[in-house]
Amino acid sequence: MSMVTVEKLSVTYRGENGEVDALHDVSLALEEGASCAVIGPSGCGKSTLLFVLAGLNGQWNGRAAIGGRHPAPGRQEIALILQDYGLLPWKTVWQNTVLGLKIRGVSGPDLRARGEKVLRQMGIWELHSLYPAQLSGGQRQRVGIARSLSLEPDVLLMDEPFSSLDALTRERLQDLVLEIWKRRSLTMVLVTHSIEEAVFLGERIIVLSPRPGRVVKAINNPLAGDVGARKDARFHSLATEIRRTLVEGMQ
Amino acid sequence: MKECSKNILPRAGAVLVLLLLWHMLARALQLAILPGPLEAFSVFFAEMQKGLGHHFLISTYRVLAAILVSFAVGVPLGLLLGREEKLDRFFSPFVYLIYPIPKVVFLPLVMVLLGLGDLAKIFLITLVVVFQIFMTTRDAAKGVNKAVIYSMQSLGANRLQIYLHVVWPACLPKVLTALRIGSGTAIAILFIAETWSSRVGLGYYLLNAWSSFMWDKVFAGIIGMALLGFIIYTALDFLERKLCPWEYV
Repeated sequence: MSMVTVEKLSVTYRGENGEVDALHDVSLALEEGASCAVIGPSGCGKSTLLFVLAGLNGQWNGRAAIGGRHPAPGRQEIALILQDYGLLPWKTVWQNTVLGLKIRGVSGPDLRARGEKVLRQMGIWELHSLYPAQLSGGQRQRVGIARSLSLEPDVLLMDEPFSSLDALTRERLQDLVLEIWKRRSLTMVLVTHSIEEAVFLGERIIVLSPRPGRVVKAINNPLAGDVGARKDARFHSLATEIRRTLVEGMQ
Repeated sequence: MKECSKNILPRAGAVLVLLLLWHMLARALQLAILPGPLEAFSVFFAEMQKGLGHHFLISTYRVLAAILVSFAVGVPLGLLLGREEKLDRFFSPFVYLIYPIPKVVFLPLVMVLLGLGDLAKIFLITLVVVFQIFMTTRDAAKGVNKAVIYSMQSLGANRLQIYLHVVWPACLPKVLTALRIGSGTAIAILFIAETWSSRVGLGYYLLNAWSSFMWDKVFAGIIGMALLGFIIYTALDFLERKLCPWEYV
């Protein structure tokens, strides 16, 4: 059984200016421990797909399931990391990190142990008493990742998690996510604008068309998960192929 | 401590400049209606030992009670209508109709219905201030970052937890700003309310001194009102630093 299943998923938004088709007949299946990168132009419904899987968007047709069950917000095995980190400015790094645990009813020594462990893993324990405004973009995203990992999820959903970071910080965090993915055998769905990021992290790469998003191409990527892949000639030829597919899809 | 002295010095400087300007104006005009700051303050301190202290305490009680009631009513309502679209759609037309009416025109009606005591004055001040706090809180609640709400929902937060962890702290700095603005309005309405059929309060003291042409006492009353506003404003400033530390990092 697939860990993540999407079959003929269509999403239509009803707004003041009428109906807008965000996604049309999108299908994908991911086995446990696999990673998938979804890439496409702005407004193609990438984030909508992720929000459906996170249970934050209930208005869809078709089939979507995680672990064979209907997506719902707050499911124990799912964690979501957002583009702008989703941190609460009024809570310290520590309070932000353990917030998910608190909401899910974890308390006392267990909460303290899990919070401290994940902050130390992320290398930001020393920052635990600071507020998000006192952190760099990279540090903030580490807190966002720490908060998600503290929940010990099986499925990690990421919505353009590194898009607002500088190139070097982005690469460092991509390496970090790669390491976590391998160590924890997470099933990962990453929505991204970055072709290089998709090739680096996605075992399966789904290229979507402009709105309404349809699957233009699904690519199996043997280079994903290889730390040295960025220097590989095949990495660049795959990136070129995806770029070409994106350009053709927009014409 | 460092933060505290950072604020005290400019404020002390502003007080000195204002006193100097007042002194120069009084010296230039040489009118009985405008005593100098030295004379006014000496009368103020002398009067505080006598009746003015009592008037000051009563007025403080009325303003604080009105601000507290306005807070207790305006903030929950503002949070609720700011976040619950259906409720907002239902109540918005009423708010838009009632908000522009200058509430002070209801003074005679309030006096007839609630009498001449503290209750009527507190009610009238509340009637004005509650709208300022409600409107600011509602707008702040509407403007809460959607991404943060999604992030909380993905963690499994229920509606109450979203109010507690997101909506309330996101609105708190703006609520405190509304309280600061509202405190100035409250004192202005207090003055009007206390000049109507009142026997106690800074407004009554001022009107009494004014009608007796005791200009030094008029200024003692004005200093009392300014002091009341300054104390409330400074207390709210202090409260914001304590309750919203993330705003000052």
